[in-house]
Amino acid sequence: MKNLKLKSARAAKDLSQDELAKICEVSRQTISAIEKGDYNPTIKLCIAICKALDKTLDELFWE
Amino acid sequence: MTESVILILIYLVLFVAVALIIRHRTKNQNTQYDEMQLKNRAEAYKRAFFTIIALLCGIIVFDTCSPVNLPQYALSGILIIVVMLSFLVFATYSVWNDAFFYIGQSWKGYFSICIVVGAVQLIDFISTLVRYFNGKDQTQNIWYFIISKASTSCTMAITFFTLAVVIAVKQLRDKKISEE
Repeated sequence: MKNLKLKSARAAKDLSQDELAKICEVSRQTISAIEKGDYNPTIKLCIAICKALDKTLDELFWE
Repeated sequence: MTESVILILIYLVLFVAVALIIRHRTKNQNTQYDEMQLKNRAEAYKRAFFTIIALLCGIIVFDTCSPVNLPQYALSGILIIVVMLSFLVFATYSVWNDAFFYIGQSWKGYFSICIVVGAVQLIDFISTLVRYFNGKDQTQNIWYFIISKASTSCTMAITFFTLAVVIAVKQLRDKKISEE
């Protein structure tokens, strides 16, 4: 299932996938896969993404 | 006997030299894979491992059951085919799942290396064939000739060209379905 919350939070911060990937120290493809719902990130990466986007885990990853 | 010892020593020196060069080159680079890449690489290693096992089992069954005796050097040729095919499985799977290059690594260097190595091996394969058809090679049976002498360069050329094509197609596809 697509993670549209993550995509919109990233767009709201005016970050590209590449920029977010660099902040979180992962590849652009990993961010893309998370947004498309192709990959379930570990809690460590979820936290890194949340910190980068100033969001909570609930806001981005809770259905 | 002395020649084989010298060959083994040359091999060891080359192996150590290549290992040291790779270590020195990657020491200052951020050569890390993220968690998704590590997961995909593990899957790629698993597939390559099972490819090796399946092919080796096939060779053992053939060697045990077939009344035909394999010619000299055939086993080396067959083992190189096994190794290159499993490498191809690993590389293709990991390239296709974005796990071949570490974070921030450019694909262009690998692509060029694949093309160059593939071209060198193709030239070697063609020259081996030309030598055979000019009658300069003593091997009588063409299949034995292919397995024992031509298979190495042929397999390596196919492997590296296939890898180059996979890398190119993957990059084009990534560009097409690029974000936003």
